[in-house]
Amino acid sequence: MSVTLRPVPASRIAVYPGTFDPMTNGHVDLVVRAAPLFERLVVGIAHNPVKGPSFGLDERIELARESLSGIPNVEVRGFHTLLAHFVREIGASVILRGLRAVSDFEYEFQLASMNRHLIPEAETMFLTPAEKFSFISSSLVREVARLGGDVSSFVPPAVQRRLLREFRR
Amino acid sequence: MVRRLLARLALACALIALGACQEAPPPPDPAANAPANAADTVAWKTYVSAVVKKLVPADQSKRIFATFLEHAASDDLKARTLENVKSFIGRGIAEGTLILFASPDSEAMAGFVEQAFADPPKPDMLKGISVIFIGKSAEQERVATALAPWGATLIFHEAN
Repeated sequence: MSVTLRPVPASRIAVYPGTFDPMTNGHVDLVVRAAPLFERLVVGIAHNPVKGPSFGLDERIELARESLSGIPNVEVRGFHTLLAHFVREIGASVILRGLRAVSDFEYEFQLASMNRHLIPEAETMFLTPAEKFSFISSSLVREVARLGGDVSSFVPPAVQRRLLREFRR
Repeated sequence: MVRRLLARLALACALIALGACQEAPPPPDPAANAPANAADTVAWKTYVSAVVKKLVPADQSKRIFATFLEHAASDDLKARTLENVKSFIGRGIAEGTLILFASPDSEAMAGFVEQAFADPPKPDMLKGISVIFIGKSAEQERVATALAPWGATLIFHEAN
């Protein structure tokens, strides 16, 4: 069997796209795991008006920046375009996605296949968060916060403060 | 004499084989009928996949985002699936993409589509995008109404 190796990308830049509404400890854990693997890791926050995010794009960017401020090669950017365009604009060769459970797989597999078609120069890489974060999702965090529950172990402190302000009203 | 006998035997065998070929029924078309058992998810997925193969040219098959809701799907599964669909739509879709919805519970799936496409942020956001719905004709109008503000093209397939 002959194998054709793909050329090594000039720069090892990864994009971690998502809505991050809001950023959770699961997201942070994934970024911490991924950051040493790349020269630069760009957390791409999608505008995504269809999901009706609880926090505006600027606020989600600000919260993500605060939550990830201690990691030197990580940058947070918002985007309104197609992910394919954003990945090209950044010059990334990897799209990073998190897999929390088997139930995520079918959806992520479809996205990865579609992105391979749209952005053949970029590979999708899946990482799993620490087990203790595998059940956390942004929607769960919002729901617990809305009902007045304690979310301190689910989200970074900046996000917790913002959720308290939002749902105390 | 023996040679003539062998030739006749060979001819007879060939005719029998030909007859057998002609009599063999054609293989069943997996897209022809929806499985009767709504709970048979494997059969339903096979059926949906066969229908899609008929509807979609092979070169477009890598651009399908499919959502299948199994029979009597739990509320948790529906909620997670809805979030995924909304994420997918909201992040922007390249022209030529196909979005597929199918379920043995056609009515539930129509309701799901109504929820997923409830609030278009701007008109005609999905122009150039086709949405395939495999379900009962009773739901066709509901689905068409839900999609209309998005500008998507509905391809409806009756699951008989």
